[in-house]
Amino acid sequence: MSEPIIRVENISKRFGGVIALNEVSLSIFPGEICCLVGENGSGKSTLIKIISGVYAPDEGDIYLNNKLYKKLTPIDSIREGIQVIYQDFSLFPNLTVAENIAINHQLAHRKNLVNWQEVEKIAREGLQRINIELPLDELVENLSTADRQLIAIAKAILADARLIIMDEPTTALTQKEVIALFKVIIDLKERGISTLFVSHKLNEVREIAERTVIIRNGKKVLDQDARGIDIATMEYHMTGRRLDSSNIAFSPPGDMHTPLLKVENLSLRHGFVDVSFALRKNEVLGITGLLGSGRTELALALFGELPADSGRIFVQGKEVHINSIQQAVKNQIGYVPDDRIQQGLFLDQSINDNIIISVIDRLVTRIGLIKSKTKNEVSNQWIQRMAIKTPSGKLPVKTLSGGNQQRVVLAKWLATMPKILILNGPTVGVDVGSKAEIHELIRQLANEGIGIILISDDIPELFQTCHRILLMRTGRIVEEYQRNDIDEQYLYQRLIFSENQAKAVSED
Amino acid sequence: MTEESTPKVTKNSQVTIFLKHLHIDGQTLLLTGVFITLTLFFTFTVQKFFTPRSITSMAFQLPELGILSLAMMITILCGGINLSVNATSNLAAVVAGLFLTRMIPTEVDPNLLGWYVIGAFIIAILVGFLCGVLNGVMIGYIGVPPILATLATFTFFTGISTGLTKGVTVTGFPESVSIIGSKTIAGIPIPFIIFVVFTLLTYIILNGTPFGFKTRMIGTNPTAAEFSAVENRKVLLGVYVLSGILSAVTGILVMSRTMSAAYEYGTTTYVLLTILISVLAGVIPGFGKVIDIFIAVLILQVLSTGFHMLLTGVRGSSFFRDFAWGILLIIIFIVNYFVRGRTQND
Repeated sequence: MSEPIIRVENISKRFGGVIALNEVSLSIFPGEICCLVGENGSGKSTLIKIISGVYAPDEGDIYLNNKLYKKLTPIDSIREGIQVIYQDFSLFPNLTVAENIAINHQLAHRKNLVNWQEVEKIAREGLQRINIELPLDELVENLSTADRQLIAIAKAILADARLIIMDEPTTALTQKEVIALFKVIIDLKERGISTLFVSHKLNEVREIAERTVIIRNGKKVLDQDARGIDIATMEYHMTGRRLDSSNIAFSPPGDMHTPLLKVENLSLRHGFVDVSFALRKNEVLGITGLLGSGRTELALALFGELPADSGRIFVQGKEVHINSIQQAVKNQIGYVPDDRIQQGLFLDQSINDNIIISVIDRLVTRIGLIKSKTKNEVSNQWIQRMAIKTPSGKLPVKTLSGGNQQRVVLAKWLATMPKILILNGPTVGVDVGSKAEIHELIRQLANEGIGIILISDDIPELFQTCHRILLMRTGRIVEEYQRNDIDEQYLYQRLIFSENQAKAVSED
Repeated sequence: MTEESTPKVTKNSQVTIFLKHLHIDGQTLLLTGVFITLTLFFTFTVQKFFTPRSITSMAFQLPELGILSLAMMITILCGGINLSVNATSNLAAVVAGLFLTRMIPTEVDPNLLGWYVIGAFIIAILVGFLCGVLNGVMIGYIGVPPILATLATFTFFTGISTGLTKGVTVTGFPESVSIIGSKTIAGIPIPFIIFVVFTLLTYIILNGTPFGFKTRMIGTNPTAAEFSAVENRKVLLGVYVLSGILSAVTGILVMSRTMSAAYEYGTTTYVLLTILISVLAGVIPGFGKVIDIFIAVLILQVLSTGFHMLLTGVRGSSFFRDFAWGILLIIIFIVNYFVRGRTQND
């Protein structure tokens, strides 16, 4: 075997009293696709930053192309052919595709004047190397996330990258874009360029990895050929415990005659068309579809944020008009948004205040003053019930992990005693351990009688929680499945199929 | 990126929490310390500073700026600003003043005069209310950025005051108008009592009612507030109406103390001073304490009076007061930087 591009040996890194990395060793060989897997806070970001020269390790050696670096700087790392593509891609949104791709080259050659023909030539070459076509004159801000990522990759290749590190590259991509990205990675491999793919989406890791490295609490716990490692094994190594998904107790949903929620011919311009379905008591109803299928718009319509143009909504058999969020809440509908940070939380405010905001109007005395004792009781009760891990409810919500933050958002709505709860991507950005716990919570809530609409494109998640699954495609509900009638593979294919078909239709 | 927290960040946030808590109480502590230091300094350097007479005189002066600062503070708290506080205060005083000078019949029963005065004060409050409604509708319902909306109304209100008075100061009020601005109860100036009352009221509204709670939450994240079923528009309207009413109360104090109403009273400095006090008190969208505003107002008054007395007879002494305010602000920033500086970079 040839020399590794990078070899780190017994790297340790401490921050204050906390050990972020504990004697981790890792080698990456030319043309290798290596996946680095770990929960949030496991130390994988620290490792990337050490390899790219951002952090200096406290102990251990770094060899790049077999050369020992005592003090590695980011410049050294780039010179040795290591390129990191961060989640924000480090692009200039107000410049064109060509300018973004060529800028490093222009800077490296200390050009003071711009030669536009040269810029275009370089950009075209960069895109060609990854077999991608993009409009060179388009401003980057007008491009999709996937296209921006490709530009970042093209840029990295032009800088003579030998190893490209991708930090959570698929977070904002659709399934189809993920497949396109994988194709690029395999292309790179054929040119001898290695990829270090950092992710916690295990199904993707399983698909692309040749070698899988898992770190947990700063220690490497697994490093082996990716073949023969299944998702359950990865989960076990990531979390250090077995997550049992096989024997899930589903509560039987209530009868169909008096559904909690019934939607008839609901339509919203630029959103969805002619949507009808019913949600029963005790039921978890999955709605899946790709980005742009109208799934989020449907949720927002039911929650009153984007009121529907036409159609009828019935709650417990009674027709209701939901034109505002207040009306939705009055009808005992709660909504956990997909964008937790922007729409769900007040990061700087306390956990307590984040929970009780939805019920603050109910916690007042006759003259309109807040009952502070009751207020604290309510929030403490929910912190306990949701098992939110914090020393005090007075701490800002931003001190919590993703999973605990999501519990706060859930607690906020559960405090209103909802009959219907709409969850949009409830485990996005949540680590594997908390994810399983949130799934358990969802089943439990359904068991207690709440009807839940779960919107997600995470197929295992749908199978973990839902009784029925509706598939949306270009604003319509096109298929309905009972969970027990299909398997994950089938649903995955239908989901992808829907995208291909939608594309075929739009090209007609 | 935000999700990916290395142990370092976790560790740091523990420190952050600690410092943050220290800071919130620390701000009050710091301001109290500054207040005591300055008071001691002037007590020892200026002979007549710590005398009943000078203290009473300060207690007559500071409530105007104090209540106006409360009017500013609540708008900052909800993520906005109100540049029209002083213009509102002047318009309220001018309208009330014109009512008193033009609407009272010449042959009025002296016993009824008091009712006219009370009526004038109610009119002033009503004007403040309407000014607040205009700001609140523009900001909450139409969605004009607060700084632009209130810059527009600042000019608009000042324009109305100027037009109504033709640029002339309104004078000649009934004697009883001056009671509020010149009398004391148990040795305490009435304006100061009014300031304390409104400070307490603001405190109760902000900390004890759902309205105040929502104000702070909207200031922190308006989108999340909306998604939590808060009626942002109504709350914002309420905030600006309250701000308008507090401004009008200031107008009443000013007309009562000076026995006049003018379109241009305090225009050049008052708005900036209220912002300065809010900054000094550490008010930011979502966070801020009424007590800190109260102490910050005291500090500014002590500085102002202290330097005035210290430099009596020295040319340019009033410029030195501005200079001292500026220095104070810079010092507070630097101290705050060392107390919480690093934590803010997280």
